[in-house]
Amino acid sequence: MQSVYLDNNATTPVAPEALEAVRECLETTFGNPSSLHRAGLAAERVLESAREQIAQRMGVPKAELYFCSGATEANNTIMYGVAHAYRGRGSHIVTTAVEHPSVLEPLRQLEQEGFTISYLVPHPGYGVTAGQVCDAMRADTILVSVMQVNNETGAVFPVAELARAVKARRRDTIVHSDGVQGFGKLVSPAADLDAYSVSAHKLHGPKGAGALYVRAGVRCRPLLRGGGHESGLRAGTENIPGIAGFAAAVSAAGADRERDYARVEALRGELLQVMDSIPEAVVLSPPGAVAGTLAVSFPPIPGEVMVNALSEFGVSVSTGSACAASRNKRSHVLEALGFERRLIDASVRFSLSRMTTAEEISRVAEVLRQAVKRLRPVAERVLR
Amino acid sequence: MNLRRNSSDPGGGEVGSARHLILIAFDEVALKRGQRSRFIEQLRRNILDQIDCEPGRLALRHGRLELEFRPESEDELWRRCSSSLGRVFGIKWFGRAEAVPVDLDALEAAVVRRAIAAVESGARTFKLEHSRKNKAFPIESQELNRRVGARVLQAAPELSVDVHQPELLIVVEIRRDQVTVFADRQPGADGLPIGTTGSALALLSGGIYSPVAAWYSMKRGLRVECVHFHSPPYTGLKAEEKVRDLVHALNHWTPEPVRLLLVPFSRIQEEIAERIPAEYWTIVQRRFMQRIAGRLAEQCGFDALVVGDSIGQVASQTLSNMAAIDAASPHLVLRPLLGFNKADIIARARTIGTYEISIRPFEDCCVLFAPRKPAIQCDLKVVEAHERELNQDGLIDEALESLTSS
Repeated sequence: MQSVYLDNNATTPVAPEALEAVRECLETTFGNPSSLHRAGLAAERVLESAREQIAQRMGVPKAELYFCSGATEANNTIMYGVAHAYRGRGSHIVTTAVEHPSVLEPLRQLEQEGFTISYLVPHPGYGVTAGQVCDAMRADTILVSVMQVNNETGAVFPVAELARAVKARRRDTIVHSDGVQGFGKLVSPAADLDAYSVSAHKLHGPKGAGALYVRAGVRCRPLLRGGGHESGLRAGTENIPGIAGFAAAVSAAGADRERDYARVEALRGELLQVMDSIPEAVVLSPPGAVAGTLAVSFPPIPGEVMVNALSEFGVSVSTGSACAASRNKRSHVLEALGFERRLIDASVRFSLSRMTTAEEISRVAEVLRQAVKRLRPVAERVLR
Repeated sequence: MNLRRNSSDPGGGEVGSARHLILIAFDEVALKRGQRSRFIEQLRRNILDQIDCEPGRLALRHGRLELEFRPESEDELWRRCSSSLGRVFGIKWFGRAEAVPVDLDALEAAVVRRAIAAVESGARTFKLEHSRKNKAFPIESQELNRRVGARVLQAAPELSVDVHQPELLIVVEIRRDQVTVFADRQPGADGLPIGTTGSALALLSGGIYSPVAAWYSMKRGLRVECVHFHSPPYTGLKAEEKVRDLVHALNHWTPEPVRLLLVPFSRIQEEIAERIPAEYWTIVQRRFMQRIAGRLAEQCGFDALVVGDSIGQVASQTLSNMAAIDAASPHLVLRPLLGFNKADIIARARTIGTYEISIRPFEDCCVLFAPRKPAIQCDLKVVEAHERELNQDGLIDEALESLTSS
């Protein structure tokens, strides 16, 4: 059975270049970059060269890029770190209702601590406009955080433009973006931002490595304190093999970024055409969504059942709602966007990567048609 | 009888003549007349298969099993054995013991060794009990308690006597051929040795109840295997994993791994949903499960089926529904949970290690195909009439053909 992996927004297969970099590092560069001897120096070289490569692709100075375990840590660090550092200046934060939980959960905690959070609801095209952000701002707004690409719908937010508008209104407000689903695919907005979170395993790097860009002069309190690694922003011996793999993955993604993007977009277009031929399919992703992401609903077939059915044929996709039968874990993103429950419960997310092939998309089309044909009558009967 | 073998022997140094044991007492096995030796032999084999350590000699003596081991491995072996012995059905209690010659010095030395070991693990109060099965032993129990107790207090000044709620109970049994001294008596799992009363096939759903029902059947000496009805794609890989983990938890209580049979059920559910009114879906599905389990019981020689029903636990668990389900197969259906409250069952699920697995949020196959209003009182004739709409034998054959086992 040909297996097709279309859950790249969850995680991606490791690129050969990244695998090789990790392996080489584990075999030869075991040192601690803080040590003074040769082994330590070798590790430090790997670390700093990785920092250089990633910072360059991101378009930021090398000294302003800090490594950490991944985007959850990067997002937590910036939410708590900025809120606590600028508490004296204000207690208002602007974000969107469709952020990743690693942004929303720290913000809920900050609400408990007395901060006020404004959650913007995206417009029908699922974007957030500069006007919306500026309208939500107050004199005491210390932080604006808007994701670059939504992980469930693929909606692209114009974060560089938002950042310029925020800065024009209030120069002191810190602007952050969670770039997990955009970095390596779209043009980097980081130079216009004060902070930007990225993760290695979403772009064919290893798990356990990520980075946070924080512009010089922006104050951010560390979450982890200890030996003063990463200029004191993130203590803990750096994950050298993971970071080496991260850098290799970023270079591989950047080598032919625009061509890869166009190819993925074309494949997504083919998948969209398949959806057109399935009468039940309702596309949830907005026009202009990022190339790799396509959220579709097949009501009344529960999303989870669809995922299981495709999985039987070797096709891996994911669902927005974790369990349609228990009805307790609906996607907060699709709910915020105002979709009806029957669409949310039936939602399935296809996420492609630059490694996806045309044959794979044809295979998915075939499997998808079979699955819908079999499941729709049953679902109609049992979910009356 | 030589009370003081050697007046120059200081006592307490006689480790060499002591045999180090774990004493294992039977639960109801002791009562089963005529079957006793078979039960004990099965228990002996189960213990050797189930304990997590190099088995020493395991012999029957004085109506109990004695597991013998080298003194230097004592603590380590006790630690490893005690948790697994606590999960062998048929054991009333078990405890670390020393068997020494019938000799006062040796007796005292053994008691003192037990007391010191207990002090090291934190005991501060103790009680001594002497049982003089050998009436020829010249000192009476009362007097022994006094003399030996004094020796203990002398050797372990941290201890004091508490006859009501002692932290440490040291029991000394004086028999004709040996004196046995034991402490650390642990309660066993009770019940009967697995494999002594027959075999059963338990229907495992993935919920809280059915694994507990399987466990209680095992406790009554049944060799149990499990069948789970899975419905891909209506249930996913994680639901299947959950059932495997439940079986894995049950395995801690058996000498041999429990086999899990997986029967695909989606085709049957689809047919039922298509051809039968919704209020009968639950009962007809259960009857199909019963028929399939019955066929498996015939093929594999199980004596009974085990299900996790408890009267009135869900609206459809009425006597008439249970009767309708049982009518689907000629096999004896055991329902060990009938007499328990929900809280009792949950508490038991926690102690046997299945609760945390059962509450994982992956639905079993019944949920999607559960009607909003299931029939509460089923008329068997009506149910059977509806079932005639289905090609029952064909569906069952098809399901059994795709059966997998692990």
